[in-house]
Amino acid sequence: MKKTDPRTKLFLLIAINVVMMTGKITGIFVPIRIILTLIPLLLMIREKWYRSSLLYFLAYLYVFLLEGYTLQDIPKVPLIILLFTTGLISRFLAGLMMAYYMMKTTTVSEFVTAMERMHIPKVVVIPFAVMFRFFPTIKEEWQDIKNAMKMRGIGLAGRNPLDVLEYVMVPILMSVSRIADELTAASMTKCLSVDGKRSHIACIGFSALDVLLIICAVLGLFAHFFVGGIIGA
Amino acid sequence: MISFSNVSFYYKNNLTDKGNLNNINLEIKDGELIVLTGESGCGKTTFTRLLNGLAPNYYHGTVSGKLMMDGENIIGKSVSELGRKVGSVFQNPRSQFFNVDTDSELAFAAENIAMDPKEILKRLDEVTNMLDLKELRGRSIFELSGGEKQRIACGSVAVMHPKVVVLDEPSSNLDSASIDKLKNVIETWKNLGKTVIIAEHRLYYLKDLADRLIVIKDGTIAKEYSKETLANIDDQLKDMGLRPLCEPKIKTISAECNSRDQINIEELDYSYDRKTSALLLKETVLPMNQVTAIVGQNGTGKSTFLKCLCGIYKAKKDKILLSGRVWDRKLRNKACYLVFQDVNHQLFTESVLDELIIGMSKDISENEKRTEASNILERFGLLDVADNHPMALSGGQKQRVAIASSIASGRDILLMDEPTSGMDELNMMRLSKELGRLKEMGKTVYVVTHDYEFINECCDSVIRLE
Repeated sequence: MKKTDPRTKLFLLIAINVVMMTGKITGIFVPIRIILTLIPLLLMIREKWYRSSLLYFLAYLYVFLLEGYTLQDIPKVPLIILLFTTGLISRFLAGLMMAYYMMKTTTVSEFVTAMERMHIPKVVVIPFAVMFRFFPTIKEEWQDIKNAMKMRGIGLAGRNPLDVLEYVMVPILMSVSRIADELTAASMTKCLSVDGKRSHIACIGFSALDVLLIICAVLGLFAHFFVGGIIGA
Repeated sequence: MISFSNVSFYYKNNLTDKGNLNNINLEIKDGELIVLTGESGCGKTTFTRLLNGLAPNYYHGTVSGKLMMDGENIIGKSVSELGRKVGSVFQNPRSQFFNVDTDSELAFAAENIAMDPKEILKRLDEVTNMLDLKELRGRSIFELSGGEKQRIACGSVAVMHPKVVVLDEPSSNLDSASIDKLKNVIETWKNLGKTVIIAEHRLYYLKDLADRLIVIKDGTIAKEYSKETLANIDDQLKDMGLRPLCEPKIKTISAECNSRDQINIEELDYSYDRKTSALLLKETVLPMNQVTAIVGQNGTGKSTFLKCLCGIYKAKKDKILLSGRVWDRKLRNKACYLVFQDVNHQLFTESVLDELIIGMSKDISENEKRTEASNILERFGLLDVADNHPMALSGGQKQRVAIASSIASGRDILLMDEPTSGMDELNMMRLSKELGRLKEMGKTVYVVTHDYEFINECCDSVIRLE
């Protein structure tokens, strides 16, 4: 199975977010929204994330079945709940899942390769690549610091909140900056520099599926901008 | 060939003389395996940094003298230029990976010099076979153990086919099985004729491999031992405050429990992902009022065990009795104090002295706290840094501050996770003495460690987790 190209993922993410979040939901936008909703579902099933796929499917099923009732005359309380939940899910969930899919399935080197194919300069690419690595690192560090605070009896109760903030932020910043420092040194010894060419072993490229997905996204965006999809336009 | 002639290096903005090198003269032949040792802060790390160019390019300072490698003076060359010839493995397995997955990391350096992708893939397979990395390929860095990370670090260096490899305390976070694997890697390099330079304080695993052992003291070469003289120098090393070359064996210590009190673990079951158990203990007795070592291979759940015991982790099944009475998580949390393995996360205040005082019992007066804290600091050789910011200390000092604050807390049960990992002989002996003192006070200490020398020095019994 050929992997989806990181550039496709990025483009889909942008398209889905723009159309789903800021677009209209009637007329020709009904089929467009359905197609864009199905894209993350399809990609997730392809990765064999059956549990997430099912939950995602059920969430949208809920939206498509019940969204219509918000236009009818029903009591206030269920109406508010319905408006709120369907609105939230239909506007945000697809984009969110697409972002999750992109983060989970793209390795740093694929990402770097894709960015360089788009001729984005290294000074931009490298910090982004490091970010990928730092989210899990910060999570690990935060977990450890929380445990240590608990151990030492430094809690929220009875202390100046500013002190507590200091107790949390100082070790986190110190340890993240130390990791960044050591990481820079290690990367330098591995010949990483902002100038100079790199080669790539990551195999990225567009497959038929990529082309299909991009066509869907382009159609969605086209309708959005030129067939009056923007709300209020 | 590498030759140092009158090489000195002084770190910029360094108030003490720590880590500086004075007037080093040394010749290293191609294919030689050199072990550099010495107390913490003696300058052995600086040695490796000069070779890979991190000093003075990244760690700034003034450098003088000539450092020749294959007829060229390498001082002033950029790190990435030297990186084609010199491979580097670092101490901390957590902070030397740029990538999140192992395959990308292995290929990373080769990609950076724009090597042909076909060649890189060929070399990846070659290195995978040579260093036995098959089961580590295609994994996330964040799910590997310290030992596994260190093997990937060695692999990513090997892909470059470097002529010279420098390693900076590569074993300090590893258990004995991982150290054996590391030893195999180093042996492979030696057999391939690479020049290998290792800065280390744990020496036993390098005994059969080293061509020369160089002791560094205060930035100069204090002593040089050739391969032939390595057999009988343990006493001399000990006198210099260094770790022995002989692999320490645990003396047979009776696991019998003399004290009346004991902790009975009827059942303890902990898992990270609700599926596989990371730790499963049944019917285990822990002796009290003494120092007990907990040993076992990486991945047997030693650290997890300590975290469950002191109540930080919530175990799925948790039934522990203290002297016959139920001892639940909340009670344990109050009675126990855990010193974590990574010391950077557990120091919170603005001075070393405060660090000890903050955890002390609220019943003592401020003055008494200060005197008591100063006493403890003195016993750990930390009195002269009492007013410094904990984060400005060296790794070994931070470790001692963390241990000192556990003692200051006055709790009855102390748990320590690898307390000697960054300690030289002198500080290890200080800690042993301190634990002896705690035992006399009737306190209970559990240490997770794979430092057998330390176990022999101060532990009354040993529990092995399987």
